[in-house]
Amino acid sequence: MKNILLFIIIILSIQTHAQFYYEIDYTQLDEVKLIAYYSIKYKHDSTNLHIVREENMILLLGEHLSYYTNYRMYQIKEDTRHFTSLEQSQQYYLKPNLSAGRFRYTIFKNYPKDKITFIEKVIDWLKYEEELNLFDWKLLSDTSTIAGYKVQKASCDYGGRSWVAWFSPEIPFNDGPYKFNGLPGLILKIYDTRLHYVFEIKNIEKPDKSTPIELEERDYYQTHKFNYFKAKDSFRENIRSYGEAAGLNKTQLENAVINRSLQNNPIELKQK
Amino acid sequence: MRYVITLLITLLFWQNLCGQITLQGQLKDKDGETLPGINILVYLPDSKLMIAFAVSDAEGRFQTKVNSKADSLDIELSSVQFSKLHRRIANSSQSLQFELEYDTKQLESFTVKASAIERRGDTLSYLVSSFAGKEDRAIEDVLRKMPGIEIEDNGNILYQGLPLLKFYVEGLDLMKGRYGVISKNLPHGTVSTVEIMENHQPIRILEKRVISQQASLNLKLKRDITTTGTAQLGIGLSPFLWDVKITPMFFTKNFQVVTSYQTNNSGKDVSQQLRIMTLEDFIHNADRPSANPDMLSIQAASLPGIDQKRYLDNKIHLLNFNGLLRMNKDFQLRTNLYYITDNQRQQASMQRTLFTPIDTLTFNEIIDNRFNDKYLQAEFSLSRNVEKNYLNNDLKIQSRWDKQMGAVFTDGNDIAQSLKNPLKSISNELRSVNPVGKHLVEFQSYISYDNSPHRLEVVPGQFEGVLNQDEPYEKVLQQIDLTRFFADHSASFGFAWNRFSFTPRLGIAFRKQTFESNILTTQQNEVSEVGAGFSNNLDARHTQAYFQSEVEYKHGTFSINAKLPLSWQRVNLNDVISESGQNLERFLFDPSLSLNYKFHNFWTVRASWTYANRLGDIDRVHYGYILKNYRNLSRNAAPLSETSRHNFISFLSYRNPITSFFNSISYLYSINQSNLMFSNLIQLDGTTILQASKLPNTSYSHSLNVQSSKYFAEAKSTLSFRASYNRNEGKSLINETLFNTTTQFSNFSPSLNVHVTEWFNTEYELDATYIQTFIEKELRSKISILRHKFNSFAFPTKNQTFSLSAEYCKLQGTHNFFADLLYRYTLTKKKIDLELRWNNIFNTKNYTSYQAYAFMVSESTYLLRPSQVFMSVRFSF
Repeated sequence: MKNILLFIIIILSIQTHAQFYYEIDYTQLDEVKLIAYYSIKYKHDSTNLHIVREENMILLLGEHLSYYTNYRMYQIKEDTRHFTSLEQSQQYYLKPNLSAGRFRYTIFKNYPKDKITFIEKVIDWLKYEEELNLFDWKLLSDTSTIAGYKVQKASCDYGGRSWVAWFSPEIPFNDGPYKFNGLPGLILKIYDTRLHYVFEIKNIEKPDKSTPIELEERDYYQTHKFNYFKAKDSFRENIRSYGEAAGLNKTQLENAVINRSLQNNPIELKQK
Repeated sequence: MRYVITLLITLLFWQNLCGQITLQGQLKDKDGETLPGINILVYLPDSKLMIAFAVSDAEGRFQTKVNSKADSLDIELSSVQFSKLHRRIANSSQSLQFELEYDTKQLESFTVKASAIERRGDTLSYLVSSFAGKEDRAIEDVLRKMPGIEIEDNGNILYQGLPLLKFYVEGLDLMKGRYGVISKNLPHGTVSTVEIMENHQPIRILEKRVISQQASLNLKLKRDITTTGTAQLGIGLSPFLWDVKITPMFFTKNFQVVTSYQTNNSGKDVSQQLRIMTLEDFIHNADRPSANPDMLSIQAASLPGIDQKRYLDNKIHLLNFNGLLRMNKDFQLRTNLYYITDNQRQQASMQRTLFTPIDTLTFNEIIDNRFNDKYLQAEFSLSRNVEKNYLNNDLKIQSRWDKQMGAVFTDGNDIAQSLKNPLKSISNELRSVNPVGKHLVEFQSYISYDNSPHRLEVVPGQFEGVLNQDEPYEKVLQQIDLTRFFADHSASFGFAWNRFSFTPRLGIAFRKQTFESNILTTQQNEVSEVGAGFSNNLDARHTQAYFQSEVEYKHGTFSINAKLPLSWQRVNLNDVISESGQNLERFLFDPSLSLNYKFHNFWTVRASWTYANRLGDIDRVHYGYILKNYRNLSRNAAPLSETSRHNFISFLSYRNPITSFFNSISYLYSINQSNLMFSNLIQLDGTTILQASKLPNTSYSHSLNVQSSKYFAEAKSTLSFRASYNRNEGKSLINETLFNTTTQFSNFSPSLNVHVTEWFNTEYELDATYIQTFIEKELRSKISILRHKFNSFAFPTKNQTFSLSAEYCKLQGTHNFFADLLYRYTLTKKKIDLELRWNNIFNTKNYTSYQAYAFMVSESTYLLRPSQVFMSVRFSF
C-alpha cells in the first residue's frame, strides 16, 4: 500500500508536463496550396539491412513556404487541437507513452526566409535553423514517369550520402520530402544510392478546405544543428538511464538497449 | 604563370567544344515588382529533356550555365502563382528579362494523378501467404514482416509505433490484453489474412465521439475450425527441476478456446499472471474491501528484496481455460478459468530487537513454513457493444482452500502452527455508457460478497497467563468467521468550459459485515472456550455517499489541478457479546491542489498539497481479543480510528538534453493525526498483547530525494547518483510507557554505466544505506548496509544474449556474494529458443535483510535456492 502510494508520487514527479495540441497557440504562416504524402522506407539498423521499416509523411506546400512532418503526428494534431478538456485528451491518448513513429520532427522550408527550421522534441522542444540552399543539384538526362507525372533525374551529395532525386517540372514547387529542395519541380522520389532511405510520393491532393500552415507556439529552445544531434545521440546512448527513471525492469531495459543500438543508421551521416 | 595560361587555354577550349553559355536575367511582374522563387527551366528545343535550371533569388535574378550543341534552347518559367511562360532563345550567353502574369487558376487546373494511400479509419488486409517464409512458425513471425508492424521482445505488438488496442481472432477478443499466448503460439499456416483496423474504437457508442489513436488487429483463419498449440520444456539440476508449459488452442467463428497448463519447481511464481492490476485499477478500487481479509497468519519471515527466482522454493501447477462464445450479433460471453495448486517452503531465521526507553529486548526465531495453496478463479463476462449503448458485466467467483503449517523454534521451544485460511467470494462489476442529451454518462456498479472461516491452531498453547490461568496447556485454537457484503454505485460525465475542465462523479457505497470469533484451549483432551473478552460477534455497517469532482485549468506552461471530493459517511458497530458498539457520522472534505510550471526551457517546478481524512477499516475492529498469530494477541475496542493527513510535496528539476545533464530534487513533508494508538504489552517470551486505545497523537515524516545524472559522450558513460533521506517521528506505547520514536534512513547510491560497444554494456552501482533508530532522542540502533552491484550485458549477435550479474553486500560485518549467468540463443530458422541459466554460481546459502520500524529492528536471514543450472527449449506442435 505504502509502496504503491510512493509509486504514484514518483510517477507524478517524473511525468513532465506535456502540452496538448489544444492548449497551445498557433501562428499562421501561409496557406496550403497542395498536399503531398510520402512514404519513407528506411533501414535503421545498418547491421541488419534486410529489415525495412515504413512510415508516412506529409508535406504541406504553401505559396511561400512548406511544412513537412510525420503524417500520424499531423493527424494527432488535427484530431486533438479543438479539444476543450483534459478528459477528451486522456481518452484520446489512451496509452501514456504515445508514439507517432520514428520521425517526429517538423521541417519548415523558407521559414524564416531562405532558411530551414527544424523542430523536434528531444526531451525538450529543440529548434535549429539551417540555410535553405543546402543542395548542389546535378541535373541528369534520365526521364521517367512517376504516378503519371513526367519526372527527370538529378543527383547531389548531402550528409555523407549520395542522393538520387526524381522531380516533376509539371508540379511547380521547388520542394520535396525532408530538407530536400531547390529543384525546379516537386521531388516525387528520392533515395540514397545504398537504398537506406527511400522517399516516394504516395498521393498529391489539393486541400478541400482552406488549410493554414502554422507554427505551434511552444517554449522552443533555439540551438544549433550540432547540439540537436548531440542531444539525439546522448538520448540514444543514455536510454538505459531514461528507462530506469521511468521504472522499467531489467529485461525491459535490456530490450530498450538492444532496440536503440539497432537505430544506428541516421539519414545524415555527416552532421556538420 | 605558365599554369594560369594553360588553364585559360583549356577553359577556352572547353567552352568552345561544349559550347557552355551563361544565361542570366531578372523576373518581374506587371508592376515591376521583382519575383523570387520562380523556376527557370531550360530544355532542348522541342524536347522534354531539361538540361539546366535556376530558381530566381530575392531580387528576382537568376543565372545558370548551359552546355549544349543545339542551335536554340526552350526556356520555361513556372511557379505556383504565375501562369507558365515559354520562350525560345538562341544558344548563346545572354541576359533575359521576363514579365510574368499572376494566375490563381494555375493550380486548380492541375490534376491529381497518384493513387490514394491508405487513409484513416481504413481496414488494411494482408495475405499471410505472401509474407510467410519457410523459417516462420507462429503468426508472430509473419506479423513481424508486415509493413508498419513491430514486435517487442515481451510480445507486445506495435502498429506504426503504437501498441495495439485489441487483438481479435475472427473478430473476437478472447484473451483481453494477454494476446501473446495466441500470437506466439498460433501457427501461421492456420491464418489466411491479417486485418489492421486503423483508429479503432472498440466501444461502438464512442465511435464518433472519441477518436481512437490506436489500431486493432484481427486474424482471419483459413478454416472454420482450427485446432493447434505449442509447448515449452525446461529441465535443470539439482535437485531435478522442471518448467513446462503446454498451450492447446481451438478456434471457430463463434466459439474459441485457449487453454494452458504450466508447472514448475524452478522458482517461477506463475500465479502472478492472475494479478495483473494497473495503476488505474488501484486508484479506482481504493474503497473496496480488501481482497483477502487474512486476519490470522502463521509467523513468516519478511521477503528479501531480491529477485524471487533466487529464493522461492515452490512446486506449482496452473491450469488456465479461456473460452468465448458469440451468442448473436450484439452479445458475447467470455469465460476465464484458473486453477492453481502450489506447495511452497520457506526457511529463515529472524531476530527482532525491540527498544523502550529503559530496555532493549531481543528475540530469535527459526522458521520453517510449508504452504499448500489451492485456488480456483472463474470470470464470466457478458458484453453488449452496439451503437446506442455499451454494457459490460463481469462476474467473478473465487475459492481458496489452503493449509499452512509452520514450525518456529524460539528460546528452546518448538511451536507448531497450523492455519486454514479458506475464502469464498463472488463479485459482480458492471459498466455501461449511455447517451443522456448531448453527454455520455458512464454508470458503474460493483457488488461483492465473501465469506472466510479461518482456523489457527498453535501447539503448545500460548499466552497461558491470560488464556489458561498461568497453567501451561496443550494447544490453542482461534476460530474466525467473517462474512462481508459491499455495493458501490456511481455515475460520471465530463464537460468543459474555456480552459477549465470538470469531471464530476456521484456515487453511493454500502458495506455490511458480520464477524464472529472465539478462542478454544485444549488441556488433556478437554476443550474449553476462554469466554467473554476473547470472542466476538460484531455486526458492522459502513454507508457512504460521495461526490468527487476534479477541476483543471491549463494555460501555456502553467497548470492548476484541484480535486474536491466530498463524502458523507456513517458507521454502525454493534457487538452482541460485549454489548459494545459505536455509531458515527462524518462529513468529510478532502481537497487537494497541485501546481505545475515550466520555465526557461529546462526547468520545471511543481508543488502540491493534499488533505485527506479517513475512517478506519471496519475489518480492524474487534471488541474481544483475537490470536492473530502465535505471538500476537490483539484487541481493538477503542472507537473507530479517524486519521487526517496533510501532505506537502515540492519538486524542482533541471533537464538539459543537449548537455545530457539531468537533476531533480524533491521534498515531501507529511503530518498524520490519529485518534488511536496501539499499546504493546510485550511479555518475557516475546509474545505481545496489542490493544487499541484512544490516545490522540501526531506523527511527522520528511523525505528528501536528490537525483543527478550526466552523460559523457567522449567516454560513452553515464555517471549518476541518487541520495535520499527519510525521517519518521512519532510516539509508541510499549509496556505502558509512552515515548518518542524517530527512525532515519539515509541512502546514497552512485552508479556508472559504460556503453563499451554497441553490443556490450556494463554497469556498476554502489548502494549505501544507513538506518538509525532513536528512542527519546537517544540513538539506540544503527545499521549500515553496503551493496556493490555489477551487471554486464552483451548481445554479440541479434540472436544471442549473454548477461552476468553479481552482487557483493556487506551488512553489519557479514559478507554475501552471489552471481547469476544467463545465455540465450535463438535458432531463427527453426524458431526454437534455447536458454541456459546458471543461478547462484557461488552457491551462496542465505541472504539477510533488515527492516526498521518505530521501535523495532528486524533482521531476517532467508535460505536461498542452491546453485542450479537450467536449460529450456520452446517449440510448437
